[in-house]
Amino acid sequence: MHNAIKKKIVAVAAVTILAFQFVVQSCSPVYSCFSQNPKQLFYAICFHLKHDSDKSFCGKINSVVASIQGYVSLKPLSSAVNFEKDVNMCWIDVYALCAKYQGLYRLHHTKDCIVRLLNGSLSVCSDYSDMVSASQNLLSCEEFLNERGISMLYVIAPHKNYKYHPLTPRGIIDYETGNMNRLVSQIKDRIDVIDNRELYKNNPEEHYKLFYIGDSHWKIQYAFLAYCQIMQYLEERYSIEFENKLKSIENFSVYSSGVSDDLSELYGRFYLPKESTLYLKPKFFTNIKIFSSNNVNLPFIYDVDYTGDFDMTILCKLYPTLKVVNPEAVNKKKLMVIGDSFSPPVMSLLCLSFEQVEFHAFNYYRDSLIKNIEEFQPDCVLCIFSSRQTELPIFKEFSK
Amino acid sequence: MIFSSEIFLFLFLPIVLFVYYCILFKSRTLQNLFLLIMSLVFYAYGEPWFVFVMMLSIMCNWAFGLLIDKFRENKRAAIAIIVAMLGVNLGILAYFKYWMFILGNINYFTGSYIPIPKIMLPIGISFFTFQAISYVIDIYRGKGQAQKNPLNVGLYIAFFPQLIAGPIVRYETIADQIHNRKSTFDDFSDGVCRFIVGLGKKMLIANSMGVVADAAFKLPAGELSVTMAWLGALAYTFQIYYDFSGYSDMAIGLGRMFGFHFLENFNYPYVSTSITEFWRRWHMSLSSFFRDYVYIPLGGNRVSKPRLILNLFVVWALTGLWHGADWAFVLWGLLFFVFLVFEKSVGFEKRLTSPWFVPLKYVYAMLIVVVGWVLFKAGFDANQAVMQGETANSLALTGSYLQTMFGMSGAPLFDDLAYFHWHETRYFYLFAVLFSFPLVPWLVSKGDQIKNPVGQFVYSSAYVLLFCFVFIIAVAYVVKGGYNPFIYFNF
Repeated sequence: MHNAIKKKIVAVAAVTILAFQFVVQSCSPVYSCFSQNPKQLFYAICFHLKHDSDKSFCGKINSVVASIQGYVSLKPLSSAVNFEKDVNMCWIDVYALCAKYQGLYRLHHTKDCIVRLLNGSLSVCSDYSDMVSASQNLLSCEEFLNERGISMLYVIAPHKNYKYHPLTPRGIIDYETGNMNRLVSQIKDRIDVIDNRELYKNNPEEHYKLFYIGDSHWKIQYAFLAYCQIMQYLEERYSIEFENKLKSIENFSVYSSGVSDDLSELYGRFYLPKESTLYLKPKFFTNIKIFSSNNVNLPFIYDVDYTGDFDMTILCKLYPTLKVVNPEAVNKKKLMVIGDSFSPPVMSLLCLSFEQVEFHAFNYYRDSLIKNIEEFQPDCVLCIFSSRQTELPIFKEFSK
Repeated sequence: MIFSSEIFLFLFLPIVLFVYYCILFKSRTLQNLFLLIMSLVFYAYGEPWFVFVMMLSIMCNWAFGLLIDKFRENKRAAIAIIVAMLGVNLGILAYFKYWMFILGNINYFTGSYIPIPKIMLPIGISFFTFQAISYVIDIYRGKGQAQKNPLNVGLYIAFFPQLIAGPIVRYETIADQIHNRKSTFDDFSDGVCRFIVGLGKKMLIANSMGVVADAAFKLPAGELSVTMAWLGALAYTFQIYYDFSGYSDMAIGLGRMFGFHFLENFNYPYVSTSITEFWRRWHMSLSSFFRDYVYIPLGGNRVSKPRLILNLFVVWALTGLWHGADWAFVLWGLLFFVFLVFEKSVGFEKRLTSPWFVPLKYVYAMLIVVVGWVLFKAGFDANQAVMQGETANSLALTGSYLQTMFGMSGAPLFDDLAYFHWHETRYFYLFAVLFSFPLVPWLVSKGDQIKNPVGQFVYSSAYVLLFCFVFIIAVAYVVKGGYNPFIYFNF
């Protein structure tokens, strides 16, 4: 075959691929926006226009773009795989196959890189941080709460690459443990810390079993242990009642729904097998009411008003803010939980022990925490987050 | 916008190709106008305000072109116009690219405290300024007609394939093609294949090498092992070649898709056995620009020996400075000046012609080149630091890095980091070495000689599949995102 003919075949193939991808790419944002409720998109834009500080024309345009982007990217939190990722999934699959057959350990060259641990599961390896910014923000919050007689507790969200038995491939340095130790040492004099990283000191295999293979988060069983640790601490320190029926996971049934793949979804369907997300359902009677907190301006309008049985699938979605009322709870107290994506499973279990729980998510919360604390008047504020949160901007307003 | 991005591949390029070939196919003027508008959009996507700087440059040089065409016979007037043109073009370049460097040096050497404004560098300013200079000088030399229509000058200077990373297309090369080019399917498919080669070089080899280079050069001197230092230096040597030649391939391929024929920019520079040969093969559009617009006007080599050395000194100091505003770049240029003078004075290429000396000469040339890239990378990182408001001493970094490379810093021979980076990129090192040699042209020429129909079918299928495979993998790396640096921001 003549060279020119071969090149023409290549050209036709390449142009076809580009044209196909062009059609798919141009359709995806439109599809993502309008396949959902357009009214919600409108609310999202209004929220950004109202709350973003940059009032210039360009700032307003950026706000609208940000709200559309935010809407498109946040909406899929409620579904397993986002449409846009589906669009590119074939390309991601190709990359993942290359990575797999090259035997790569490091899969993503960002500041916090994704690493294939020696046991085959994926983990995020953190870069070095002195954690000063995080600790200062956290201590300012503690000072504010202390002045109002509100206690504060920090629960460490454990890292998959275990402190006592790291499975980091040779040559990769994971600074997570050091970062977390630095944070704890900077705050421990003023804030009580529950360090659940000690749980499996002598049995690290158990630790790894309690994490999803393709996801950075803990399974519900690990979250349940953290919940028990918190409750035992509160029981000892503040005489909070920890009911017997809540102490054993045997009083709950485990069920699965959706998929946990926050890391493996970046590497396509062929990289790692999918794992279902696990949830707990109490075997006893419950009656709770969930609603989006009225005094909070939501950046995205979630349809969360719900009354009935305790439903972890609803509670574990990462809402920017959420309020849960449980009239059946033995502790007629108010608890505020502030945390990252590790916190919803623990928060949802805490709802069974406290009459009122208000939750604020780190990365999606846009309102004033000070205002909320003053209005909600919690008895205790609980923070649950991993050491990947090196800045904690949500607490910045306390240091002003 | 860069070629190796989703927005370019999946939005910009399909739209431009569709409109160019399916809507405006009847009118060359409209096609040129459309290409100019899209080139400005291409530039404005990343540099919304600096597009006006480029438009100012276009308008000024269009006017200079008309003036020089009119006063070509009047030597005094022509020289005055050339001087004014150089003043405007080099003035713009000096302000945006060198002003911070100049003030920094004044402060350093005089102990003064002149405040240094933070000036952002318009991407590709060195490329489009040199093309603008080429436009006016080529008209003066009678190698091209002055364009009456400023839009055509705009298209020559701002044409998106070569706008931000070259090659430096001289006006005489495409003066005629602006109006009289032919767009054929042969050219188009040639262009697509060339683009695929460039994309593959950039996404697969250059970016993979870049990760290792960045990891090595950002390490403090005390934490770098000898092996890691060599891995980093070699990685940067390959990164800059595959990145730059990949961009040139993509630019040449894109130009070909629209019927433009640009000259080659790289010719397997890493097969060179002397520094003189290296510079005949590396960034040819720049070296020929300096040869024709600086070296020859200074007298070239038909001058006395001291003057020849001075001419070479000026050319190589300017070549270094063109790459970035830092002393490391000047030193990098002068390093080559020293070895070029040495090779010229001993007749290096004419001696040691026995094939037994080839490996020795190869090692000599590559050693100088690799050491040169260490200096270059230090300058590059220093420039990046200055842009971010930090300070950096590129010469100190070079010194400590070279000490480690040659085992003079007491660093360990090997460490885990070196193992890790070798493990992660070993295949890419292999490809980088293999494709540094003209292996593919050799294989293609051998394949073309196959007469057996079955063998020919297998060869043809492999040829097509290989291109498609490289394209698909490269696009997958683009979509995956992550590390995809643009290393020409300070050019």
